[in-house]
Amino acid sequence: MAETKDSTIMILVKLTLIAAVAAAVLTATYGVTQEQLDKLAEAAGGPDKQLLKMGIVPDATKFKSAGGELCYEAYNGGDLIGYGAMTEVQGMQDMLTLAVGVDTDFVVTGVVVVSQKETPGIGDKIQKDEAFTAQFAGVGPDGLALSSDGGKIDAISGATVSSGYVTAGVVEIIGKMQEEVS
Amino acid sequence: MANKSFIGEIIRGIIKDNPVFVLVLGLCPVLAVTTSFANGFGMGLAFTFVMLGSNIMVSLLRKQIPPDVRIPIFILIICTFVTMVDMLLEAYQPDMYERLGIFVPLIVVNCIVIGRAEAYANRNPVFPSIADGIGISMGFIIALVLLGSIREFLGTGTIVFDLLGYDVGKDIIMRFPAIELVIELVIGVLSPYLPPPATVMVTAPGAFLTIAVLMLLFKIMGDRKRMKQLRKEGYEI
Repeated sequence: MAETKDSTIMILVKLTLIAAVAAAVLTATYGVTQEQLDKLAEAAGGPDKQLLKMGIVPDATKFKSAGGELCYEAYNGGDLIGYGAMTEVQGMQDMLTLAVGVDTDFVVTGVVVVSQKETPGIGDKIQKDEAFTAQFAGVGPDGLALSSDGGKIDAISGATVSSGYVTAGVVEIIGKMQEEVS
Repeated sequence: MANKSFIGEIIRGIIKDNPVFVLVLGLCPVLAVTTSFANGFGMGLAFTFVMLGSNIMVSLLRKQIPPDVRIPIFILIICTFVTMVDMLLEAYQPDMYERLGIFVPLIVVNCIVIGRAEAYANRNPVFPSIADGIGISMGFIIALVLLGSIREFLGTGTIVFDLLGYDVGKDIIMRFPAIELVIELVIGVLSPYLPPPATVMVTAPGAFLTIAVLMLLFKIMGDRKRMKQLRKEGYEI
């Protein structure tokens, strides 16, 4: 402990000094990390590249913005073969990020759970269990519900609620895509 | 305090002054992020960075810090390190950053860090302060990892020994395939007698249950040791 009592001016000077040093250190760190973040963002590519990489429309060779907010047109060469979108929907704990691909009749071609914050070990199976998301492929708008509700999607046992949110999210995203396209 | 050994100070931080089990500080991140081994470990590392940085800076500046405004200065120093670790995690460990979420910025108000700054670093030279920082951090990491492993195992039936994206468990098994065989054999024999994973363990109540049991064990061990000491000194208990 300092024995000498500082004057108000000294206290102000010291506080300012420490704050200035802190600011300088943080500025330097920001510069370095921002560079790395830019690199990460570049590696991930824009939404069209990300959709292509996830393979939600398996035959697509290129995604192009459909002009709307979230819908992207999927092309195989020059032919329009479907649509893809990636967005946040409500999950059980927090928002889920889902990517959904459909063909031109809005039959699902692929679903990917991009990120989720569901209960570890329980709800997070929606992301880890690929057999669950694989079920969506080939299902038309009528079948998009859990099998307990008369649909074609079997919920993961022990993660029924989260499975339900994924299914509802897929329906929601397809609805938005239809709206934007038509 | 000057004649205390470096190692001794570290061990004191782990056992006698264990921040979680003995001082019962910083429970908020302890309970919230220990749903798995990997999360607990990541949080522990982020905490260690801040704890060490803050202890060193406070100790270096202790003769310069005006006593009237010492708390704002501590907070300023701690904030700087927390913001640094937050930015570094976001850039270099995005997965971990995503999972720990709000609890990294919340290290700012972690009472262990400011507690050590006020109670220790502000009164001791740099060298012991570093020892104190290491000891307290190790005590914190041990608590997080213990809680995380127990909750992950009881709640999901598995433990993923993943250190910042590096899966240690998988690596060990790849090098010594025999270990996997033994583990599978043991699990195969035991599984009919093991209860199914209890979901409650990875939710909030599970955190309280686990920490209560661990604190009890820590207390029993501490009391035993003290009784032994007293008996040695000739008391009859």
